Amino acid sequence: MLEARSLTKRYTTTTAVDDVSFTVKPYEVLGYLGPNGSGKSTTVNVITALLEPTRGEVLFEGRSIQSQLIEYKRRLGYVPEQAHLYPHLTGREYLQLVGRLRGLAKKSLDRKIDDLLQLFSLGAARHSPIASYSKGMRQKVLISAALLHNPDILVFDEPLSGLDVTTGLVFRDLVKSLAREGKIILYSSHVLEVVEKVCTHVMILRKGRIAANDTVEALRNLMHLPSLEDIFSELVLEQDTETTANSIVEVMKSA
Amino acid sequence: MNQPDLSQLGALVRHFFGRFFDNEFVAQNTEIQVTVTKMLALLASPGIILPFLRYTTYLGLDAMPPEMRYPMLWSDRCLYLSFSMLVMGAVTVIEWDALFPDRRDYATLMSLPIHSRTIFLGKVGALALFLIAFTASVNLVSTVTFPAVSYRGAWPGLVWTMAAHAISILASSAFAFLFLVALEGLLLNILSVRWFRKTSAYVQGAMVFVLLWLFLLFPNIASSVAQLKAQNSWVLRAFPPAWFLGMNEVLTGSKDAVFVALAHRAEIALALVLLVAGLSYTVAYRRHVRRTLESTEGGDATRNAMHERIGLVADRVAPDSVERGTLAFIGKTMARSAKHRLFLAAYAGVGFALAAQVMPAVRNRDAWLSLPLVVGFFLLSGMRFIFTIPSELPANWQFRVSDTNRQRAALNGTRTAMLWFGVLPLFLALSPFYFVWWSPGVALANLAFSVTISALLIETLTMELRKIPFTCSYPPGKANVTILWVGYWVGFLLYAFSMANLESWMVKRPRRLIPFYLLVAILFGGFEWWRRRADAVGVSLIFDDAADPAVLTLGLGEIAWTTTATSRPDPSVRRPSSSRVSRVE
Repeated sequence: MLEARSLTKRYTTTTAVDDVSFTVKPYEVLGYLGPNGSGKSTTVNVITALLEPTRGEVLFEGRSIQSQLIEYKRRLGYVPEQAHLYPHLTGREYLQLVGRLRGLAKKSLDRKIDDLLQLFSLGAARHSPIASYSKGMRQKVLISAALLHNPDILVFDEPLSGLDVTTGLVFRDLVKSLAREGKIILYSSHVLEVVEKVCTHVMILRKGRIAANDTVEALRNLMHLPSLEDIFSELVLEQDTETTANSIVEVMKSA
Repeated sequence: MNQPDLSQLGALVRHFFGRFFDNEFVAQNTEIQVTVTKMLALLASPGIILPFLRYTTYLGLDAMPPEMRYPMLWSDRCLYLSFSMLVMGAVTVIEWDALFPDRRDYATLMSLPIHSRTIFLGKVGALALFLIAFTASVNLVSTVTFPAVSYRGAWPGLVWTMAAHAISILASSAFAFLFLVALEGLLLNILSVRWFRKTSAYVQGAMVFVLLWLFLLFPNIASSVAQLKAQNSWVLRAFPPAWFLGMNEVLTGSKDAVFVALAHRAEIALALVLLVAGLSYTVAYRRHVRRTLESTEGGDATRNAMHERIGLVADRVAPDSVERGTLAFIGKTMARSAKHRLFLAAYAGVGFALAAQVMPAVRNRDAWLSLPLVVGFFLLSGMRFIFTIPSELPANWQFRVSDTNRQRAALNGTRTAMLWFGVLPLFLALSPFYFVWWSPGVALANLAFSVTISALLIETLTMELRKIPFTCSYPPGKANVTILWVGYWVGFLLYAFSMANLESWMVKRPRRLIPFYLLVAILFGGFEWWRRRADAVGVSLIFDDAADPAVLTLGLGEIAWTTTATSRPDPSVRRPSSSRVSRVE
C-alpha cells in the first residue's frame, strides 16, 4: 500500500501542497485531479522522491520511503508530465540506458525493449534520435521506460499528452490491465473522461488542499451530480467558463 | 520591389542578435547578461592590460631612434590585430550553428506575416551587429589607450591614429568573421544536410585546433615583424595580421613599399571574403530555409557503425549493468553532442598546439616521449571538464528515479569511459609514432609506460568525482579559474616532462621498470582503498551543484551545524493520518 500522510510542501513564499493525505492499495487506480497550480505535480514529485516534503511523509508498505529509498525506487515506475529525454539518444538506446541503470539482464532487456517498441509502433523509429520524435512518440518511450522493470507502483503524470487516439485507447486498457495485475497506480490528469473510466478512486485537489477523495460512484451519489466533469466543476471551478470565453473574444476583437 | 518594414526589421535584428547569446554554449542555465558580460570582460582584459604594462617602455620612446621605436610599435600593434582576429574567429566558431537561422527561428517566424526577404535582412543585420559589437567590446579600450600612450605628436594626429587603429582592427576582425561565414556558406551549398551536419562537427573541431595553434604562433611572429619586414619574408605575406598592420601603417601615412604591398593584400583579401561570404550566404540561405523545414531534427535514422561500436565496447568491458549503462551514455553523448565535442576539441587542441609549437625544435629523440603525454594530459583533463557540463539537464530525472545502491558502479563507468574512449584511441593512433622512432621492444615498453601513467592520471582526476557525467547542473564561475589554471599548469609540466624523462631513463634499463610497476600497483591499491573508504562513509551522487555564494565565509557555523544537526526532523510535528477525506468543503 502507498500512503501519503499529511504531505505539505512549501516553497519560499507559497504552499504548493497543504496537508494532503491519501492511500492507494494494490489493484487500485487513484485519479489525481486539479486545475493548473493546484499542487498535483508537486505531490507527484514528492511521491516519486524527487522532492522532499516540508512536512509529512510518504509510506510504502507501512515504512517511510526515505528509510527504504533505493528499494522504493526499484519498485517504482514513473511517467513524468514533461517528456524530458536525452535527444541525442535513439529510442532504443534510451530504453537500454534505463534498463541498465535498473540492473536488468541484457538478454531480457533487449527482448523487452524490442517488444515494447513494436507494441507502441515505434519499431521503425527505434534507431532515430529522440530529437526527431513527435511528442506522442516521446510519450510512448516514457511509458515503455516506466514499464521495463515490472514495477509495483506506477505514477502517471498526464500520460496521454500527445498520444494519438488509438494509443490513448490502448493506454486506457493498459492501466486497467496493470490494476488487475495488482499494481498500485497513481494517475494524475486533466482528462476527466479517461479518469472516470479507468480510476477506482478520485482525489480532487484545489489550491494545494484536498477538495474530495472517494470513488467516482460515491462522489456522484454524495453530490447528486451525473458525471465527474460536473463534480469537478462544482468543487474546483471559480469562474463561469462561458463568461470567460466571451470576454476573451471581446479582448480579441478590441482595437 | 516593396521596402522591408523597418519596425519588423529592427525587431528581427534584435531577435537574431539575442539568439547569439541564447545557445547551449553561452547560456548554460544562467542569466545571459551575466555570462556575456563576464565573457566580454575576459576578452577585453588583454587589450586593457597591455598598454599599462608597456607604459614605462613607451615613456622612453622619445629617446629611441626611429629604427628602434617603430619596430616596437609594429610588434605591439600586430599583437592587437592578431588577438582581435583570433577572438573573432573563436567566437564565430562557437556561434557556427547560429550563423544561419535554425528550425526554431523558422517555426516562430514563418507563420507570421513577415516577408522572407525581411527575415533574411534581419539575420544579415544581426550578423553585422554581432561583428561590430564584439569587435568594439573587445578592442574599444585598447583603441584609445594604445595610441594614447604610444603616439607622439599633435592632437589631430592622435585622433587619426586612433581611427586608423580602429579601422584596421575592425577590418581584421571582419576578415576572420567573413572567412568563417564564407566557409559555412560554401559547405552548405556543396553538401547535403546529412553530410553538412557531420562535416560541421569536424570543421569546428579543426578550427578550434587551428585557432589555438595560431594563438601560440602569432605572438612569435608579431614580435619578429621588424626582422621579417627587413627580409621581406614570405611569412609576412602569409600572416594575415601583418596585412592589416600594413593597412594601419598606410592609413597613418607610411609609404613603405612592404607595408603598401601588405595593405593591398589586406584590401584584396577582405574584398574576396566579403564577395564569397555574400554570395555563398545568399545562395545557401535559400537552400537552408527549404532544407531546414523539410529535414527531420536530430539526424538520420540509420544505424551508425561508430555508435554501434560504442555499444559493443560497453557490453564487453563493463560487466556491471549500471557501469555499462553509464559507459554507453558517456560514449554516445561525447560522440553526438556538438557542445561537448567542441570543448573536448579545445582541450585536445591545446595539447596538439603546444606539441606542434615545441616539438619541431627538439632534436633529442627521447624528448619526443613527452608528446603523447602532453596530448594525453589535455585530452583527459578535457574529458574530466566536459563531464561536468550537463547534457539536457532536465532529463536527469531518469537517473534520479532509477537511483540504485550501485553509485560506485556508475562512477566506475566514468573511469572506464576515460580509458576506453580517451586513452586507448589516443595511444592506438600514436602507436606508429613509437614504432617508427624505436625498436619494437622499446616501443612497446614506452607505450605500456605511457598508458599506465595515463591510467594513474585518470584515477587522480576522478578521485573526487561524485557525478554521473553530463547529468549534474554546472554553475558557471564556481571554479576559481586562476588557481585552477596555475594548478593545471604546474601539474601539466610535472606530468608531461618529468614523466617523459623518467620514462626515457627507465626504458634504457628495463630492470628499472620493475620498481616502477611495483609502485604503480601500490598506487592503484591506494586509489582502491580510497574508494572503499568513501563507500564505507556512503557515496551519494550529486545532480544539483549549487553555485558558490556571492560572499564566502569561513564556514565555522556550518561545522557546528554538521556536528549537531544530523538528526531527522522531529516526528512529533507529524499530523495524524487522515487518509480519506470525503468532502472538505
